[in-house]
Amino acid sequence: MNRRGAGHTVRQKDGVAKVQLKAQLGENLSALDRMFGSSADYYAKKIRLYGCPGAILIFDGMASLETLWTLLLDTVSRESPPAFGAPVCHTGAEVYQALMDRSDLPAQNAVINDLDTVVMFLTAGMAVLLLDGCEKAIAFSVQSMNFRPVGEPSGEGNLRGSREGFTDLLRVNLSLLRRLIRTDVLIMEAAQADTQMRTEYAICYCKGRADPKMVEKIRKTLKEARPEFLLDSSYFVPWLLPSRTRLFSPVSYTERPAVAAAKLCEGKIVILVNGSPSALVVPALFAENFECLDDYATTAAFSSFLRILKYVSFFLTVFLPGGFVCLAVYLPELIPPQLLYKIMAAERATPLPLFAEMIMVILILEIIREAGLRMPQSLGHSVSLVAALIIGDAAIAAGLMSTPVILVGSITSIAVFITPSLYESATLLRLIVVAAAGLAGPVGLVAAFLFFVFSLSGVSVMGVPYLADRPFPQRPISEDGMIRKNYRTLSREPFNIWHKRRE
Amino acid sequence: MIESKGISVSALGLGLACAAMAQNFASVGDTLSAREQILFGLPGAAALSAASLLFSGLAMRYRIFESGTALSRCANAAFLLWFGAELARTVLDAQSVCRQQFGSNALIGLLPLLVLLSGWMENHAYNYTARILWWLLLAAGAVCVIGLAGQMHWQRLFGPETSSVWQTPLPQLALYPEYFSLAFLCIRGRERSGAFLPFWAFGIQAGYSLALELVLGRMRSPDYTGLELLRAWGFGFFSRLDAVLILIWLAIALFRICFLCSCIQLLWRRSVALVPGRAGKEGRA
Amino acid sequence: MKKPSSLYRIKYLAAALLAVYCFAFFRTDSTQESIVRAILLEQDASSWTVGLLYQAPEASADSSEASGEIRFVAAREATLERALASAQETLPQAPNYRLCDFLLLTPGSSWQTLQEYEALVLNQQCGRTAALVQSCGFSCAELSEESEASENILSSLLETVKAAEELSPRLYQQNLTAGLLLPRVSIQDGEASLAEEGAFLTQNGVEKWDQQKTELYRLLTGQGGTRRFWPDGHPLSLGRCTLSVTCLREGEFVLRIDCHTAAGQTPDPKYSRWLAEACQSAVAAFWAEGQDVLGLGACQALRQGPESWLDPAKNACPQVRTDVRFTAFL
Repeated sequence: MNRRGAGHTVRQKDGVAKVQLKAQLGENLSALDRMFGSSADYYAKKIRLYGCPGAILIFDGMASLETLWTLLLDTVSRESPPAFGAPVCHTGAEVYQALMDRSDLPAQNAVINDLDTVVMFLTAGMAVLLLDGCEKAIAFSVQSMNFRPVGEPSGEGNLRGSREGFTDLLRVNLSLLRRLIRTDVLIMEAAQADTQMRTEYAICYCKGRADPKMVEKIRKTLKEARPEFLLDSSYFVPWLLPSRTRLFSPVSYTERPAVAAAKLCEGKIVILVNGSPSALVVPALFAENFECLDDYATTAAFSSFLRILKYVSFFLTVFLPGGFVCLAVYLPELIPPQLLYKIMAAERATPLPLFAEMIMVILILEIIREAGLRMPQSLGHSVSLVAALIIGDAAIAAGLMSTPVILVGSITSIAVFITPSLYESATLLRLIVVAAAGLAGPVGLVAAFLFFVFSLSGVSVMGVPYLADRPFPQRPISEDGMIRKNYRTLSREPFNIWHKRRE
Repeated sequence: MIESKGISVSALGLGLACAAMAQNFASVGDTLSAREQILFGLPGAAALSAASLLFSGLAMRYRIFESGTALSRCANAAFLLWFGAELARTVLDAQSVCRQQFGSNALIGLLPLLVLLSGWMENHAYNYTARILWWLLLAAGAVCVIGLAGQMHWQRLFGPETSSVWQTPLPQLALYPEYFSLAFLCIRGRERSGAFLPFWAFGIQAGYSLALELVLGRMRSPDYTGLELLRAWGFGFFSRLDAVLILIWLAIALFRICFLCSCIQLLWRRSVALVPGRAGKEGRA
Repeated sequence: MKKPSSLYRIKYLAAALLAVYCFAFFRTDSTQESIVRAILLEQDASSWTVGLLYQAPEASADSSEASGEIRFVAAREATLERALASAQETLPQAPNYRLCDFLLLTPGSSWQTLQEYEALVLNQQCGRTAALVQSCGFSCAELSEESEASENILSSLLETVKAAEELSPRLYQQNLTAGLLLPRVSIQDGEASLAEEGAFLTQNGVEKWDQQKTELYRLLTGQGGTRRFWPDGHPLSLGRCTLSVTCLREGEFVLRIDCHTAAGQTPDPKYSRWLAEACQSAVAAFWAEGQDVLGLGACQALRQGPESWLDPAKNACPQVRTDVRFTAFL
């Protein structure tokens, strides 16, 4: 589309060329026709308002025509002069002023004087009114979009606490946050990303708790980011965390407004993107992967027990396969003798060495997991049965795989779901550890462990280290880390993430 | 290694723990008794501690490692060589243990990867990792002592005296470059705590020697190395657990290798920066 | 200035060379080794026989069908080292000694057997210096015959040997004491069993002790488990025995023994007196044989100084007053 060729004035604003609206209604309509005329959902209706020619523009399915007409007609009928009086023709500018300043219509306060802004409001589901003789347009909030209702997110289960989850609409998500933080400290800044789709995103933070410099840094980073598409908040991560190779990302995601609100009150910054229910929270700590909404709703002892279980499960899922391979081959004295001979018998019966068999089992379980996620629900039962028969029975009977290896692989595959946020890192690490232990033995296992610890220790974002900074040995254990103290004790000193920042 | 806050005392101490344990592993049966080690080792550690503190003070006051004088260049070069020698010794110790215990040469294959990794590591990563490894070492040490408790008999500390304790030769003082590098390695303000590092090494050596003598006795065979203590360790239905402590020691050894590589890189950059004609001053580690 | 594509090519080449270098030192191993669980040594005037009890389960992908088969091989050569090498060659796979925790000495073994084996272990790592030493009443040839006749004899032998762990001294103790009391394992009718009498090994050879002497030695050296005595034909089972030795002055000691009697047995003062007398005479008897079972020398050295250490070979047996207290089993 060549807007310059249409003869519209081009004005530079923030370095970006904007095409100004013209005073002539026809020219504006022609420009918009050239942009959207071939789209089936583009609706433009010419009207007269207070005698002034105008046009109402909407995208069908996003704005409610009924609401619009009821709103406009009702207002105009009350304020118009009688039918048999002398016709009064007002100019576009006068009608604009009247509607903006002297009427009760729910018009947007923003000044709309260029085509890009018109498109932005139209695609947000608003109705835009163009007036002949006026270089500005008015947008009305008459959205009536179909969207997924607020429901419980499937990926974050909990026993107690809120069951609400974010939806795909940004504005709805912002309202969910506003309902929870009912003070003036919550700030939510919306903007459009510089992408092909001009997707809207919002940066949310609590004034006075979030570091203003970091907020400004994020604002600037997201403004300058140029993702090709922005379908989820995670697409911003490569710009927020410039390091290319990283196993652990010091950001977290949540689909629960309650969790997002709690993170905001801790001084963190939440980024929401239109079209995705997943909120990005930055910065995050490693320990937060082992916490959940229920933690503070149960007793300190039980939640501490669960957290320890989660830590154990995480380390089990990463190191158990590699440790098993290493111990069975190089250090049999560390395996109970009653189990050792079973492992030896199993390896003798299978064609592959132990570590190759373990990698094969891990990959097969990953294939089954991925297939289970993507396949149509109607096929779910059949595929599960086939997978169980193949792995559970036929493979062992054929001597391709052995029971101990399948057992270890299954335990690790299940254990990883106790901390779903660490799934990607745990899966990759697991393969690295198995390969290292299989090829380099105990040295490889130890080197993989050191690499894992270094990966964790070296991660930080905005100066906040990923691992808790506890002075050792004076205060070796955090009061809300692997174990947690009573919530009343924790509430005495409210936590703020920026207190952990390295100087 | 990015110039940031500095290395914590616990990270420095961890490397020394590795070196001290390696010495213990390699020690043979006819060396000093535990009593002599403690009697003579303690004043030795005190002397080293005083020397370390004095040298750190002088180095910071006269900016021995930072000014562009000939003395500064010599100091950087000398410490570069010293760290290099310590790196070589650590690698040899680790390789010898890997070869002896696991029959593996994989450490030689991993060395270039460790050197590359050390180039990306920042100081705080070493500090955090050191805390985790200290926890593991202490936990394994505690389990080791519990496992060996049934084999420890205090009576084995005594035996027929062949000569007076004052006639025995003095033990060799182990000198590590970390003792005298506090000025450019340690977190600012923690140099005094760092000066107590010789006592950390002494504690580990003396503790190991004492445990060795409690289990294997003073009159043990001169062919026994210190590793035989770990080979006697069993717990519950695990009849042999020496591999656990050796694996943890190996993790600490790899940590020390990466750390020493980072120190060498730092000293090299400093040396290059201090060459006459080069601008800029290297900051603190 | 080099072009970026050249730089990438150099980087990829360097990465490939690094990968080749790394993989040159890596290798994959398998669990297909013969796990040696115990070693039997037999020494006569001119040859050595080494027997290896090892684990070699049959291949089975389904672990529920696997069984931990114990097998036995033996070889005889002129020296210990060659006998061990020959025995290893007859193993189906390469030997793994990481679980070789037991050393069984057949009849005819001597103190030299222990010393030579210790030297071999330090040299070749074919066992542990902390291996548990036991004595067996059969030779390697007899065990081979029995294993052909009975399927379970080897498993039974290993189980019996493991059951006697608490009573077995460790190989390194031969450097600390002049004699070792070894539990005796025997085989009969396809089963292995542990004898109540022990075998005392010294530089002078092996001496078979009776049950009472064996139990007294175990009691006085603080070995765990239950001690059984038969004062006047009456059974006396004692558990959780604790000993404490106090040096009153040079050459004078007090030994206090606290024991729990077994369930169903009342602690009778006459048995405590009997045990006290038995212990007192046993201490003197062992001292005469060169055994300081209570560590009296170390006790005196701790109190009086290292110079006053008592040596059974040089010093007379000090005075020991024994005090035995029984507590009923709760």
